[in-house]
Amino acid sequence: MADLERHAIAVLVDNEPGVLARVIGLFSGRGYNIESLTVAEVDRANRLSRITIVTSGTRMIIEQIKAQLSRLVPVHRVHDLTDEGPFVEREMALIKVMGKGETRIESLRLADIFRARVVDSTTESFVFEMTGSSEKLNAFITLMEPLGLVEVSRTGAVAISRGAASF
Amino acid sequence: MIGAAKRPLFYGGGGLINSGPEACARFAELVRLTDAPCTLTLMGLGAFPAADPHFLGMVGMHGTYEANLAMHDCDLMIAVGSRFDDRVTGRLNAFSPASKKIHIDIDPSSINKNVRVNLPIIGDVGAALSAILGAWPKASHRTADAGRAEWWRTIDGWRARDCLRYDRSRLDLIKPQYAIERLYALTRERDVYITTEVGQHQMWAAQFFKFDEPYHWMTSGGLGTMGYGLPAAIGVQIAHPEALVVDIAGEASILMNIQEMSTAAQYRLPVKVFIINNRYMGMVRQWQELLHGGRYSESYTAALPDFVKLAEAFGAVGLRVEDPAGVDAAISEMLAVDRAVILDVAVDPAENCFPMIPSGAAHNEMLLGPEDEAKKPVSEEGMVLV
Amino acid sequence: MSAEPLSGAEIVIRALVDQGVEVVFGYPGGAVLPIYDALFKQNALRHILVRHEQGAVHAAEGYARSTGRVGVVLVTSGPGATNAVTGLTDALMDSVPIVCLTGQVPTHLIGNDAFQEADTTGITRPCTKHNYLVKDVRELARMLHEAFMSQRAAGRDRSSSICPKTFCLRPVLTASRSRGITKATARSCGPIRTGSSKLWR
Repeated sequence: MADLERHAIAVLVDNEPGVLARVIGLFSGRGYNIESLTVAEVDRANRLSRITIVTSGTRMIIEQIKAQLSRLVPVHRVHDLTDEGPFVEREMALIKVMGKGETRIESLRLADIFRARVVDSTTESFVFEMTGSSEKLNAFITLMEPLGLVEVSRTGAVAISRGAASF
Repeated sequence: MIGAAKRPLFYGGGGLINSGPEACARFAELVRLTDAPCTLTLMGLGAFPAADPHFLGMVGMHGTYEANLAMHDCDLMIAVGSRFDDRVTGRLNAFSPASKKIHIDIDPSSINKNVRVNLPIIGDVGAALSAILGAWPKASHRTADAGRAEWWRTIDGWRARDCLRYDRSRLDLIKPQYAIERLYALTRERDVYITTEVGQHQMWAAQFFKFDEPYHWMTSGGLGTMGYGLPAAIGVQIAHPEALVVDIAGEASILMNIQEMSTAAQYRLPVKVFIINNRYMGMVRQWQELLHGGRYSESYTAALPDFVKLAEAFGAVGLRVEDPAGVDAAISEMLAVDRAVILDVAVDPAENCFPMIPSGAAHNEMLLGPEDEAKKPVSEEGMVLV
Repeated sequence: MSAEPLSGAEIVIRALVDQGVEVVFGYPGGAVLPIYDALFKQNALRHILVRHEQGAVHAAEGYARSTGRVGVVLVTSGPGATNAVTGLTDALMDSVPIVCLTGQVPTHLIGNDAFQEADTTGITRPCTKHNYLVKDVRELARMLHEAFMSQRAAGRDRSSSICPKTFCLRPVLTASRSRGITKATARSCGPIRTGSSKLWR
């Protein structure tokens, strides 16, 4: 069995209706995996959006995904950040934890250690905002589970290459 | 790489047709220059002249014995405008195990999609072939290489198997292969275009109707759409009003878009519908015979219309033939009249389409026919099941 | 060049003729009546009436595959478009160049389950190389020419297999458009091949 690789792929697309549907349709139609996906307009003047997809698959599948994406008419460029050198990957999460007494104090302490911010608090709940690598978020969320974790909302990863060269 | 190969094989596909007649001409030039054998996919038929002795016939699930074994045993495969479709490769882990592969294609996503290749060349096949031809050493004597002669001897041994032979002894039944052979023979004087529906008749058409140039063979390969042939024939006739256009059809397929006979009538298009009528969805029935113990579930085309009356209802000429002795006359009549025609050819319902690589099998595990008594050829690996 | 107002339907005919199209295979319906009316009034473009929209696409395929040219289809909204899906998928799988124009209900009715409405763009997205929903008649000529450029250019440039496209257009009778602009659009598309960014703007 070939090894599975996890890749962060940035796709620059026209900001037009239907483009995201076409990209997602490509993944679902061909059975490729989407671990996470984020999209937002990044260039207003040229009406371009950037889609960041985290996917996993064998090397051959990853190459297929990139080739298939490049073929789409509204796609301008496909950038495999994992392949192309060091890059920064960040994700943001809002994490709601309910608790009283000891668990409440413990959750606040851990949040401090992880440098999560409190963006909402009531006498029996907190909402923490946290930014970091997906692994760091996963770790924090796992720690919150026994402390009253009730709800998580995550953005999915965005990524950008390190250094001066731009996409 | 090509010069050094002892057992090269050119494998051309639909991409050559899409690129155009120029690309096909370059392809032919390169094949002849290198004196290498050449095979084509279903979608590529016509890209290289079938009459040329370098042509081994179609490759793939119902391709010829020599084409499939050459693909299996070659040491260099040059894929030009073809995409290693599953109908061609058979079982992937046994596909052409010893060969290096060159793949020329305009679509990067086709490269290394199913099969790992050693040298991908991304670009229009016409341009790529021109470049290769331009770079070919002028005074190359590699074609006289002894290794190449041995490869041809091996191939001729495979050809001797005559894999497309069928039982010609029956005087009471029309064999479908015979019907198509006679259609081919009697259309040599005409500028003929062939469309097909999907099924056994499509495979027999690909095997027995020879194409020497592109743009004359229209068939639904990738999707395999029954009902494609009649409307496609209409489109071809519109494009080539003076030509002879024949839709080789099965009786099940032709019912799917039969209403287009009205279109043919409206525009007085003299399309010829040549129905290979075996009263079954033949390809489905063949699989059911091989895999499902002969349980022919829903593959019998019950309640068939009288095609002669149906043709006349649409204002066309209706003909029917059931006797092998009457085939030539029926075909001639179909060709002589300048109107749309449906010729219903009643054929042997039990005939199966061979050779066949059952799915999940490899190229050297072909079934050659219900009876196989030929000797095993030289340098053959693996089993050949009967 | 005299500036004569052209309706959306007339733009379609003009753009097709400018692209060298000689034959269109199709079947009429409510949503495309304006185009059929415009067809009736001219002689440059020949229309072949089929009996089922699937037949129109297969006929266009036969035409394209036997000549090397782009096959053109015209069908109405709703069932006309959905009947074309098999043919479009067939053309996609075999890389046959097809441009298919499908009618659509008026813009203000989209999403209201109107008569003969269907999410054509959604339904045909997986079976076309690209599709366009024309919501503004000023975009019509550009999108038409783009579709043709892409089908023709596909075989000659990076990465595109030749596959069909769909257009959905809403029938616009009253917009005016000068003839000169249609020609200019064609010219500006001329040197552009499959570079998608430039084609959109």
